[in-house]
Amino acid sequence: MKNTLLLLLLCIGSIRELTAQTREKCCDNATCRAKAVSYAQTISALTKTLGKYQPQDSANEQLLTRLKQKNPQSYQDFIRVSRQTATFINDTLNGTCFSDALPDDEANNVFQWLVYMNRQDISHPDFPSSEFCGGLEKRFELSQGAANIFSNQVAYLGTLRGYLSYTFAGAGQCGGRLRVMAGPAVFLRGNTFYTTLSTRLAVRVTDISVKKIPVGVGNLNAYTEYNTSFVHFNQVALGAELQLGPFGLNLSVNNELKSARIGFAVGIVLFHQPFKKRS
Amino acid sequence: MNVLITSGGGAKGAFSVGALRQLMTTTGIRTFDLISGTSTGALIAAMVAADKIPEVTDIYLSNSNADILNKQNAIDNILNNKPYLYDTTPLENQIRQQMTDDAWNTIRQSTSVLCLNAVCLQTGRLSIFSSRPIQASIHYDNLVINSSGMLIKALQSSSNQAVFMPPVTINDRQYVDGGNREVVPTRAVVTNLSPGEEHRIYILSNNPDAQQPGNDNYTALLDVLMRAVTIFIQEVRENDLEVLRNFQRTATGPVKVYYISPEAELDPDFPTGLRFDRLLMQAWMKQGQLRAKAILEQYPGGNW
Repeated sequence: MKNTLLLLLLCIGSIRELTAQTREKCCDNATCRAKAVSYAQTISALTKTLGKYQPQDSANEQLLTRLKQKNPQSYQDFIRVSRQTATFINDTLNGTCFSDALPDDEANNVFQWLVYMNRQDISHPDFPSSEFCGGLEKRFELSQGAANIFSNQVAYLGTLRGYLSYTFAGAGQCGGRLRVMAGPAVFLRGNTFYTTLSTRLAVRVTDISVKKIPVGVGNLNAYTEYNTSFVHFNQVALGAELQLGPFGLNLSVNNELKSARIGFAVGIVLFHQPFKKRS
Repeated sequence: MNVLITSGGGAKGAFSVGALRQLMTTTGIRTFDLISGTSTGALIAAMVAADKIPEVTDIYLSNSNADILNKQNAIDNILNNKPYLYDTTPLENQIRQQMTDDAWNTIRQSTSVLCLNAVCLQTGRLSIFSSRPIQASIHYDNLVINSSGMLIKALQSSSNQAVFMPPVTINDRQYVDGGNREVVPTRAVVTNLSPGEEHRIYILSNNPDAQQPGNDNYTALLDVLMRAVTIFIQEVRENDLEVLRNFQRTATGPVKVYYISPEAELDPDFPTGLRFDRLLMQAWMKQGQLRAKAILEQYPGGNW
């Protein structure tokens, strides 16, 4: 008990220390500042050896190739340090201690090379996701397909669903990963109607957006669902959905548990929207 | 009079901040008599007037896109009739954090006159929000800021790029980025300077002096749009500078102009300035600092 209490106090102490560390600016911290200065000195010495950055990629590749042939160690160092420096600037540095430590006559060259070597990481503005916004929403969906597709008793499968949806994300925030839905659904298999409870769990896989002017258009999500009439009809399904604003298109493969009938359905989301308009 | 003009350009404002820091170090100027800013330049101008140079440096070094904008679903916005693509709540929060009642009191009590440019969607006119009444002109409407709340809204108006960000409503009128009419905000400056006195005008521009050549062939819709935005910005900028040129020609007192701008487009892929990348902003800030140092040392009497 005593040990547990001690451990707990140590943990609280460490958390406080961490919080304090994150509040302090890198350039105001002697260790972090020394690291920034060290990166500045190392990278500027390497870019001096490498040569002046050129506007044409081919010319820069030539400079890199020449360094690799003449001085393989410097080449390896440059590749490593240019990545480390960019990561350090992005993740840790706040303040001007890195750029202040660069020699004036080499500073622009250093930054041009750093941007060139790390351009894959900075090629597109990274904005928070516009998809899977947190909170309660309503959804109405129609789908059509076929049941029992691997037999000679293939039957029409149609569904009509209304869902209450909840997306897990911070209050007023988008970019959640998980969404749960539940609601009544009517299934028509062959000539028989089943009134069911439909539940679905969806995971946002990726966003669809315009890169040049970072605008969200929609998302691709994968889902699993369980539909039950509690008596005759029990079905599980796996699917993927392209959601575009309040609309969506999905495709799922389903399996009726009791009869092991396998089928598919193509669905159209007629609307998926919050109860109250977001401001 | 010492005058500071800061232009628009989103994240590229880091260049202006670097140049501004160097300018204050080299000249020893701590306060300017008149400060005129548009868009990102308006944010910098207000921070200078509020004596918050370390804070503005931090902002332009450590912000990421998420600290400025929330991306929104374009289809949702179109269907819900929202006249913008991004939600600017994070930017508004940052402005609120900096432009407190204390900051507004500092601005109000300082000897500087702060002018923030926006464009009114209803009148289509340049609207200058100022910390004190300024001289009237046929070229603009003047709205005097009377509280920290109005200062915050004026800053939002000046920086909210039309279409991308929501227009800001002040007294039943909607305002958007001043860059629609003035990228380099010179109108308020030339109207409020006495032509017979000596003036030193420091212009911090994030766009290069000359139009950069384009690609050999544009095939993608967005590439054409981006190129068109660049050409539009250049045209507005040239007109703004022509206004200052006319003042310089007709003034009877000496008008020294220090024009500090990058030698090439800072972010050719994103001319709208909507790329808040820490490495790029470090690079641009240093570039601004070095450019200002070179110009101020080489041209003590002005370079323009």
